[in-house]
Amino acid sequence: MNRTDIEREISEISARKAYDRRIPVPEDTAYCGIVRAINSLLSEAENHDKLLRERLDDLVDARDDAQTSNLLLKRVKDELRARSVQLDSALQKAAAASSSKSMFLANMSHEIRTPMNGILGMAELLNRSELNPKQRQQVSTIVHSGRALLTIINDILDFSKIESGRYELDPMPFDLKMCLGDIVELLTPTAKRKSLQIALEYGSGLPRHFVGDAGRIRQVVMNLAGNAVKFTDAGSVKIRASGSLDNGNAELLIEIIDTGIGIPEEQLADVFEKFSQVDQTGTRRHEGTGLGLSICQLLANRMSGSIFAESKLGQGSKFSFSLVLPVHEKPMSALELNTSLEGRTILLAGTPDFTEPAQIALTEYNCAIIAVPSLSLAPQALSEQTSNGSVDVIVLISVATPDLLDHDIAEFRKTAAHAEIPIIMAVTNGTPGDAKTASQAGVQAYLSCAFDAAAFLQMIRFVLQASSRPDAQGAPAQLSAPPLITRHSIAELAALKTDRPDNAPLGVERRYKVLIVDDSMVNQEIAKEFLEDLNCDVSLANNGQEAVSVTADQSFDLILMDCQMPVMDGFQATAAIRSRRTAPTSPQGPIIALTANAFASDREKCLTSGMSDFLSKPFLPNEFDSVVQKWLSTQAAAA
Amino acid sequence: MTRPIRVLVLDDNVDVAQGVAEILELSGYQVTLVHDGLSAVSAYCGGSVDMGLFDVRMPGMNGVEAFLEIKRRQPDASIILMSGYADDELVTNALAHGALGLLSKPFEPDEMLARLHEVQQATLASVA
Repeated sequence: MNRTDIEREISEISARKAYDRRIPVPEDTAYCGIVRAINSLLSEAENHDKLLRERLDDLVDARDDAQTSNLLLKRVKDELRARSVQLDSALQKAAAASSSKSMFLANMSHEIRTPMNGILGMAELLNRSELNPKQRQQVSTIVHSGRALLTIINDILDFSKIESGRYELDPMPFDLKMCLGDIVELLTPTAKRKSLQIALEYGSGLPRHFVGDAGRIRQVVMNLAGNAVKFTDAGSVKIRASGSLDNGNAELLIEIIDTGIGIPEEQLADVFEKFSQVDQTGTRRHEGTGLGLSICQLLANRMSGSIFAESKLGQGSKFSFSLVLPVHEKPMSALELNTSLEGRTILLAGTPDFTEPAQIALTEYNCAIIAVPSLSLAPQALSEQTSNGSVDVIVLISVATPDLLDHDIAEFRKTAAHAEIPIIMAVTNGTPGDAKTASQAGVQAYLSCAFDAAAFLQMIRFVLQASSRPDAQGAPAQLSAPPLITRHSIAELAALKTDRPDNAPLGVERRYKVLIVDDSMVNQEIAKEFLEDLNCDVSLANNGQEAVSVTADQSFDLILMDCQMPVMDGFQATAAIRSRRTAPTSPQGPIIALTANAFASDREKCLTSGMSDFLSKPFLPNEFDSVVQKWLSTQAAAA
Repeated sequence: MTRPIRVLVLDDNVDVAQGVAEILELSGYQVTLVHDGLSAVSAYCGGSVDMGLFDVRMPGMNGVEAFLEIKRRQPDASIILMSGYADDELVTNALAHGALGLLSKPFEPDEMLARLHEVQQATLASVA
């Protein structure tokens, strides 16, 4: 290999970038050194070139990857956007479907309630007529089944109404304690039948008056407490109210605690679901739509609260209903009981289970308390622990019915010094008739709810006040026999003091003229019979037009107006009657709407068209009577 | 076909791998992601994979090496390659040994879906 060969080789390698080639080392010693050096350079160049290529490959790879991932990302975004559009439209469709479902339910329940009105009303009238026992049984079955059906329809309607957001709360000042007390009272007969104790524990220091939708609150608590009674076979059901105040608002907690069958843990979360009932297996011992708790939960949420359930299977359940209500600053006037308990001596007789809560309730009033396990031990305790062997009042607290205490009381009264001491009998579970037995046994007052601390205190004050009156003092109990004092007599006194004219009883001496406007003969007949029982003269009109013409020359004390009628509907008729310029001799009385549509919005429509009140069909006799009487009594007051 | 097609995606670039996976999932495929060749071999041969979508260039065992190893163990394996190097000798070799095509990066997602669909149809036809 000569110099020319070497030069050609080098230029070829350079042109082709064939750095992996090597130049053969020539024999000629003049060139062999330089060729070796060139080959060594080539080998370095080859390494560099390889490295460079790899770098380049990596860069290209990274670029390709970046571009690929951009394309993919863009596609993912597009796809997701398209899907969210799809979801939106699906959501809208679902909302529309749900709204039309509520509409359907509302319409359907309207359609069902109208004939139900006929069935229930007629059955009610039949029940008032002469029947043999078997027929009476059959009629009452019709009435009961009809009412059960009505309850179910109302539940479904109520649920769909609340769920679709088509109702609003109706906040008014109310007495929470009375509201809860009413529930306890309502459930007491059922609880008594199952030998359950039922009690209200109203937090001492908790205000009584709040502004809220009392009807809805009652509905929730009634539902929870009703369930508690239903699912408890032994033990007790307790309603406990507590709360904390913050800036005029109260965070209230109403707990319903039972010792019932309990709810398995895995089902606890589901109890608020629609149509769920714990007792689904086997016999359906407990009936219902399964909507009650769902409705309660929805309602609690509307009141800035909620309902929690805790339970231990076989040991009982606790439902906690929390809600936020403004405290009502100026509560309605109530009976003022200013008799002080200070310095008085009170003897409590009963087992410690019962006397201890009573003692706790009395602690802050600075009165002396003597507790004995039974009345027969009272004389000994009195001689040992008092200066004169007497006390101001004795409270017997017991689960026992009054007739079992008859003997004890008689024995106690034998001592002359004890003959005049007023005795209050407080039982945990009263039954109708107990009060009378108690009175005959020689007690002065009877309290059916021993665990209601406030009622308990009120009762003691009232009895002390009554016994300290001069006319009561010294009069032998056997001769004067003053009427037994009960919770109701205190409540009545309270009501008298508040002096509310709308509670005035309906005058018997006056007959009222009432006009029924309804296109349904059945409804006309039912309302007519109800009204005639209330001492009313009834006229009938078949539609709004007839009502307008009959009221042109006659005045009525009350007009019952159906809303949906042919020719002229109730709203138009009411507007026409109300706007009439040339009135008959005296103005028309209140107009009450009769409608099978139970929405609050309907109520509003009735009121804005000039009607005074609202009766939803099918009307139940009590409801019908109370609304009619309420408005007739305002007429009586006006006359 | 009741169950979704299961695709094993191999790419050392996490962005690409996840992008591919998301699109495949949006299109109804069930996806397993791996980022290196060895994991791809064990995932594919561990069963419960219907198809592979393999990147080629990566550190350690590359996509083609993984492909060849899987092919050796499972001659019926269905694997598509993804690479920016169409004339790479690695790719040429893989195609010669039964790789079911090459997606040249950057590729449009639709191209990928179309290719997967073709392979799926071919596999179904050959099974039937």
